[in-house]
Amino acid sequence: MSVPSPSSRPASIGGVLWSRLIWRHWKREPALTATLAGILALGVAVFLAVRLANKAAVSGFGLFTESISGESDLLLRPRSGFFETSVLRDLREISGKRPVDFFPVLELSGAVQTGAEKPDGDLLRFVGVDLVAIGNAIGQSEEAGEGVGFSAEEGEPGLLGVTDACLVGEAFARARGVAKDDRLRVWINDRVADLRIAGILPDPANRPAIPENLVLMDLPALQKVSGETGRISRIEIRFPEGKAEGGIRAAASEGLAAWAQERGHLLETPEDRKASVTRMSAAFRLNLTILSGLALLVGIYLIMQAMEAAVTKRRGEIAILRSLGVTPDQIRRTWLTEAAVLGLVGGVLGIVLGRLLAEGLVGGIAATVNTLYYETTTDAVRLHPGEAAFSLVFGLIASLVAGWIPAREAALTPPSQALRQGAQGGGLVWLRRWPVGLVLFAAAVGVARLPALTFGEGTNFPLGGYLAALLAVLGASVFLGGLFPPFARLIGWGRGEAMRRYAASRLRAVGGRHRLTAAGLSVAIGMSAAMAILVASFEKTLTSWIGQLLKADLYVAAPGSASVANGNRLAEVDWRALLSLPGIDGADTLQRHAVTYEGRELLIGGAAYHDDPSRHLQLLWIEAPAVIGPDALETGGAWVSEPFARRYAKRSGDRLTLPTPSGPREVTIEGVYADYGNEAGTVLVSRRLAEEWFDDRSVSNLAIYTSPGVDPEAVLESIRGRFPALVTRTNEKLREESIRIFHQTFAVTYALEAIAVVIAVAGLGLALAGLLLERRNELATLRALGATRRDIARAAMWEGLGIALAGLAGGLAVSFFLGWILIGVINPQSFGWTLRYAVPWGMFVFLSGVTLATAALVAWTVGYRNANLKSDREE
Amino acid sequence: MKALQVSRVTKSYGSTEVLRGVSLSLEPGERVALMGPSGSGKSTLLNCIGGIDRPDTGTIEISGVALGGLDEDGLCRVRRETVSTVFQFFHLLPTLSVRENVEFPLQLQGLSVKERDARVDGLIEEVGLSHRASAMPHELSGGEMQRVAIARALAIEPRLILADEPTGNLDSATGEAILDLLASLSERHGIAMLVVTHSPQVTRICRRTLEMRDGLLLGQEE
Amino acid sequence: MKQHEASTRQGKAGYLTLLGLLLVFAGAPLASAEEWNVPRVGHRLEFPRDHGSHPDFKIEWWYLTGHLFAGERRFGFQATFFRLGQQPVEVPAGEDFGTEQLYLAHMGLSDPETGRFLHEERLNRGGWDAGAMVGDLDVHNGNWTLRREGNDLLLEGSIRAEAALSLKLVPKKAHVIFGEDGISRKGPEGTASSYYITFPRLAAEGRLELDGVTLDVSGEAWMDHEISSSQLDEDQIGWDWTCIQFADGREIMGYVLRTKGGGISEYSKLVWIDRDGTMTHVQSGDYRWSHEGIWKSPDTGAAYPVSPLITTRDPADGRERRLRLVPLMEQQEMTGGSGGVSYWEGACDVIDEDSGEAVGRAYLEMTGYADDIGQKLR
Repeated sequence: MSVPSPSSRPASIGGVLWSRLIWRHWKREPALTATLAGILALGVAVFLAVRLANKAAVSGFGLFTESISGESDLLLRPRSGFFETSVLRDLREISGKRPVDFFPVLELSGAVQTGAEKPDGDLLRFVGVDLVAIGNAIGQSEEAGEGVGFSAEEGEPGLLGVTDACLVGEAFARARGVAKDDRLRVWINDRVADLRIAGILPDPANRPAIPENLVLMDLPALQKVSGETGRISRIEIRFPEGKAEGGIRAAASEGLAAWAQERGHLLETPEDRKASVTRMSAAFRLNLTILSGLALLVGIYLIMQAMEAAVTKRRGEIAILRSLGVTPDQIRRTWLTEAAVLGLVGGVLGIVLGRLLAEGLVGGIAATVNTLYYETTTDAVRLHPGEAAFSLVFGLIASLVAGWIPAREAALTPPSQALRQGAQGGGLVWLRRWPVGLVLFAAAVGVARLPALTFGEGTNFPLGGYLAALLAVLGASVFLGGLFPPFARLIGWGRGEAMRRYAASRLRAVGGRHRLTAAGLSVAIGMSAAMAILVASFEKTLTSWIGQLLKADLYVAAPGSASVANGNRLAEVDWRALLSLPGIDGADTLQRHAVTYEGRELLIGGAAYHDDPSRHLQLLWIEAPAVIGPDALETGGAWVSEPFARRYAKRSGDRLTLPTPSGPREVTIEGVYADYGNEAGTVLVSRRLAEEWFDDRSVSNLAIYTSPGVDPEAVLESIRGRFPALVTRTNEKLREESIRIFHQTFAVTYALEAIAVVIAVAGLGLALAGLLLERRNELATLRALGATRRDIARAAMWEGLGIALAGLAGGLAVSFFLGWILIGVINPQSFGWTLRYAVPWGMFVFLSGVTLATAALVAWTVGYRNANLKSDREE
Repeated sequence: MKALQVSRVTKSYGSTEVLRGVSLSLEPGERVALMGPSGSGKSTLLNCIGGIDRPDTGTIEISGVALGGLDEDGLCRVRRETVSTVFQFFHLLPTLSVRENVEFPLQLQGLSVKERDARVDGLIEEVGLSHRASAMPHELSGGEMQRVAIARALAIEPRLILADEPTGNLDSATGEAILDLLASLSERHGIAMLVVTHSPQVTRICRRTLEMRDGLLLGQEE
Repeated sequence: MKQHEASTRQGKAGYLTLLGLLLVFAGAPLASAEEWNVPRVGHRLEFPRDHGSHPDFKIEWWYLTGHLFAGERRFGFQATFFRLGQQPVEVPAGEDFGTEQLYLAHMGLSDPETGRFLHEERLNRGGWDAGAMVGDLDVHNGNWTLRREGNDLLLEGSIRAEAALSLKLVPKKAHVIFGEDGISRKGPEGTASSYYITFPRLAAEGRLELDGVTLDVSGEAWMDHEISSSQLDEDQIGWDWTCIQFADGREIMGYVLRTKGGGISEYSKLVWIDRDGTMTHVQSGDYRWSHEGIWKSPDTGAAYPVSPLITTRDPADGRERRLRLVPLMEQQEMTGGSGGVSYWEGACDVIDEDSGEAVGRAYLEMTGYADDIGQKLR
């Protein structure tokens, strides 16, 4: 081989080194290279998938008219309640002769009865627009004009002038198996209606698809069937296109803004609106995104480990190259190039995989957002080029970080170190010093106490918490190096079995690679166990909360799924009739109203409690009010939920000004209660007060206490018989339901952790394969000494178990701290929930068992497969 | 019963005939040197005898046991109980101490701690390394390492020791000492020994010297 | 000849509004005259009451066309407000979102200097954003308005964010009512007729905002107000209509109805209006309309005879006049929205073919060239 002098031809030597040091090895060990790329790909994929799924899950939020007629320029909406339609004439008047188009929209929630298997119905969004005027919007927008034609045959009943006609999208028809002219029995607001599907709207070509739960009606028809006569939810405003657009927009916007401000209404762009709504779930989605980086973090350790192995294996070659005059810098660059190429290949694979994975995650994320935050419908997952590029870069950086230290080590190879194969390779120097881990840990504890970063409008980001988690994880991965000797002793206990003893001897002499592998495992285990602590704490808190809260015998709600966006109600005449059924002693009643408070959604609840002091809703108090009892709210005070109190830094004694349709109302906070059911924040006042503010006597929920000696089941049957549309559940059923929903919200989290652990265990297999490859001479010796293939597999298994034990121990140890960070720092800061710390020991045993068993199996398999490796001398 | 009986063994790798019908036999306790240039087939023959490789045709019997009839586990048992190998590069297990290295094959055999202790101490003493029993391999000199390897080979009380250039990696004085050790131990324990070597000095301790060329033993009848 | 025009727009509206608005009209048969009021022979119209809306009739419109000047620049404009009565429906009409009346409106501007033809169409239900007053002229559709103030008419209009028009229109001549006995007949059916009130010459003055510049404009306009409930003969496939304003102070309103066989319907008419408003009716067969000057639309592919030659006897001196309409620009086609009906409506100069002199200005309307509007109406 001729190596040109580095100074004369620096360009070409890179190629020579690349082919000599990297490419040929890749070709020789395609499986190893593929596994590395695969690990990176999986890490990138999970990261990208969560980001894409996050996007798709909330993209369907709210502004349904966008799908039908394109995006509006401005939105005008009241802070609470509805507009009267008369404001439209005012708006036309103030905009004068300017060509401004106003599209009134009435948006209501409803439900369709889908049969016994889904008794709570499924939540629908009814949107009423002026079906005549909306054509002007469509006609104006050139690109929107084509392809949305809805044709109908002559002689059919029309859409206008009837109250029962509705239009749905293709997705709706598919999901519910309905076709044109089918009839739908639905619940709108507080009444039942029988609608005819007058047409199926095709999805528009270049706008978001029509949401799956959207039912479109002519505005006056929806007003009539819902009982919201003369009311509209919001007004969408559009400015026509043309050369004078800017001037018209500026002048008209100014007038509209002044008008809105004077009346306390909100004027915003659709982007603002979307941003402010999606911000509600920002913390949740950010937490997911960060968790999704976990797989990549685990991946970094494994890549580092594998590249360390490669350096060790090729050290002889490097030494020769060095003695031939190749500079350390050139060696380093070559290794970094390897890392970069690996990162690129893994990244590209990861993008493909992530795109697929996202499909599976969307549903779970959307379900959680729906339950906890606001109504969203999922959009098709799209591969946003920006997101793909971001993930690719992220993967590349991870790969380079992983490659940095092995590259440095390769570059440090002295020329004289000729051909001394099998030297115990490198590892980070600091990785070998377990006390460094303690230092990192101490730093983590310190950082955890930093206050949260606050973004506008009450969104908090617990930077300190995340930083502390990262430091703790790093600390654990260093510290666990110190665990190898004791575990080696444990495994080599007694002087029994030859292979176990041999494995223990290998563990006593661990290199950086064992440590890195165990570190990767500890990160995965640590985070998973910490999440398990969080879930357990959450569940424990929730269970006792539910236990305290749910004291009634029966629960009745308007139909629709358990979503904060469910605005379905029971009309006064209905709920009063219901409560007069025999066997009912009394009830707690609640009405809910969504209003906009300081730019965010807030629920105002109007509660009236059963007058039996021993039998009425008992809240779990964070700050207990002076008076607790059925009539405590009747004096006009307010109780606020914990997320509200935390977000706006309010406490008992503070005064609040709430937007209501009858004008701003001031109340004094008398208590703060725990509420794990929604993150939006709730202000509870007496129902009497809410009725007055909102001019509404309907209720959304009833908690019913049956008379002593009456079978709740019998009362339930009589309610169902009389009001089949309502969702009626026994106490027990509601508890089950609550826990089920709770677990559903963590489904995605579980999946992310499982992936991280799988990656880590796969990494263990990879590391062992590398180690065995390096020890091929030793394997030959073992065989010569009469060790069977199974003996060698067993040795690998014991060694793998040792690594897994160290990773597991480090991970579990750090998980207690991480759990504390999640519960004590991150959760209150970003969600506003106080939780009681609980450790799921059973879960830990299970996690440990599964991890050890899998690690043993993987290690044994790797050992068995590699037991017959030919030694160098046989080649 | 012969310690080793090799009859008309052939072995080819692809189109290359490495062994072309080798036959030889060793009496119990007999030491035979096997010489020949690189590529003459010495190592392949040794591998076949050690059960690492299998011949294409012909038979190999060790103490009356035909290797051809054994499965993989059977071959392992032969290596574990009947045949030991001493390597040019010693091949100690680097993470085990001197004592543990010697003890290792006995552990594989499943002997009790008591039996093992008795035998291992004696062997270490026999090779003159009692003072270094707890040293790790990388702390030893070449000669010491080969002594450990010899002790390890003797531990199972084999009928046959295969030695592959046992002095190839040692200076000549140390080499002589190792050869003396091998000779005396084989004498004392009645172990047959087949020594592959380039070194004429090895023939000193052997009764016979066989020469191999192109896959055949010189002077052997085809 | 705007009745047909309105019917055309009905079909167009139905296609344009994706949500199947067509059904509303298709479901209500056109020949439902029994339920609607119809023009009656000898009925006396009263003003200003009858400038206002007549919701008991099925179809009504106020239709302005005209020529505007700003220094060297010249423009043609069209502003149309339709009222389309609907059959009673099960939902009682709310006053904000009515179901009894629909209001269609159309605005067009021809700018021969740049060759631009700007236009916009609107359809709204009677209610908060569209309507027409009963008892006086006051119609609106979005930000477009037309109303009477004393003797004057005030028009506010716009075309998207491209142009805005604000005009005061002062009648130079009293309005005229077409039809021999107070009603204008359109076909053999007794009910197929209208009250047809026209301001044949309005002095226009006001402002035109275009390309960020406000131009003071002045000129002359023509306004039709037509009230009816039924029209259109089976045999008719389209029409050519014009209003000519002569420099000498006289006007012509004339149209030919084209039949399936390629002929001209006997209900075609041409009317001369003298300076004092005296009308001379010319029956079909006593004037000629030659379709000349074919322009092919790049948008619809329709071939419009944009430069017709009208031959008629001048009632002033009995001389035969050969009047050539020369469009200011060829592209004055109103293309229908999504799948709607397209037609040509444009400003023209009028040349005396014999003397070669420009003798007046006109608006020309041609329908049924882009597609068979008759079929869409039946």
